[in-house]
Amino acid sequence: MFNVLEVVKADFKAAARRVEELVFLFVAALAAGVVGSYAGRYAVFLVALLASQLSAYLYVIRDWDRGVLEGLVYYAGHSGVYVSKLVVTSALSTASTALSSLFIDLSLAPLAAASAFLMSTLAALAALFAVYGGLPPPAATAMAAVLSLPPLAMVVEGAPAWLAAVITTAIGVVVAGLLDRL
Amino acid sequence: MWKRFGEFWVLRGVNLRVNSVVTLVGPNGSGKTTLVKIIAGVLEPSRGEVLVDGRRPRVPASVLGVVFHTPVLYPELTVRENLKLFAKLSGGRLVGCPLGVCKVLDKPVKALSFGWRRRVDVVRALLPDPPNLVIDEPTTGLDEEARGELLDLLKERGAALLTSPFPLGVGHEVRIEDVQRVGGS
Repeated sequence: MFNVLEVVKADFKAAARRVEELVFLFVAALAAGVVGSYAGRYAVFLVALLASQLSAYLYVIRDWDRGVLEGLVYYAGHSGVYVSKLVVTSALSTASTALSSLFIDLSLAPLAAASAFLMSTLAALAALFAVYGGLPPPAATAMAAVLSLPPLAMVVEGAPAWLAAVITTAIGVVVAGLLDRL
Repeated sequence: MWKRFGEFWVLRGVNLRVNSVVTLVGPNGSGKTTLVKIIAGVLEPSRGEVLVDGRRPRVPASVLGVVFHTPVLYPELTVRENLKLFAKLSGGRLVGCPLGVCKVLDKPVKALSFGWRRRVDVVRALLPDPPNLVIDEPTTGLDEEARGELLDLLKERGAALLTSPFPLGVGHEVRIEDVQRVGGS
């Protein structure tokens, strides 16, 4: 657990210094928000999907390409890396989705943020599968979308977001642990 | 130990005991990097196992220093921040100025040349002063001075496994095809 906290802190520090990628993510969410405002209020969930996938690409897949993930797995294990990436990707996708909901429907902001978080917990996992388990990226995206639908439906139907978040996070931690067995 | 990617066997019955400094020599594509990743616990073997000091370490960083083919440092953080992080993760600390890293402590890793990144990465692996060391192609990217200093440092170690496409003149040299049950890939 101590190692995971240290990795989370380092991940956040590194993410904060990757200014170009932060700008890219927030501009993409902003643009999706403007366009989504013409497509109806539920477009905010599509923005959440976009933001979660972009975050997972930028902070998981790119970190693998840069060689950072390999070292983190060595020090913190797959579950530790998953939790760390989950925290970073979900924080950024939640913030960017909340921003886009300003243009679509502000009353949906809490729901949109919750859905971005839920999708990120699984998008981060899918990205780990893509880089480590050899799952093709389109299949990883589909896996994230499909797995996040039941908890998302729970939230939309009125179940507390934290319950759905606990469920998706538990799925992620267990499956990330199984990556060691591949 | 055996390792398969899809239908392709990368390692076929590798059997190797390291209790001194050993250089494993093999051409590109012969499975050296895969072997290092398996020893580090980043990859699981398809068959067989790796034991360090008689057991499979769960968090290997404190008993086994590993330098991978690509430096595992955060490019955006400074050398000091990286070394501080990995010292915390492995329970070690920076002693002295090995391989001259003090000259670049406050530079972000992304501003360093590959050779300097490699030096910092070697120092990262040595932070907890691990009793066992594994380095994938230790001389890659290093200039003559750093190469000499690193090889001197390795000669003093009790046990280290080095991989290289050519002989390094350090420790016992073993060809990878000589330690596989089925000849090289």
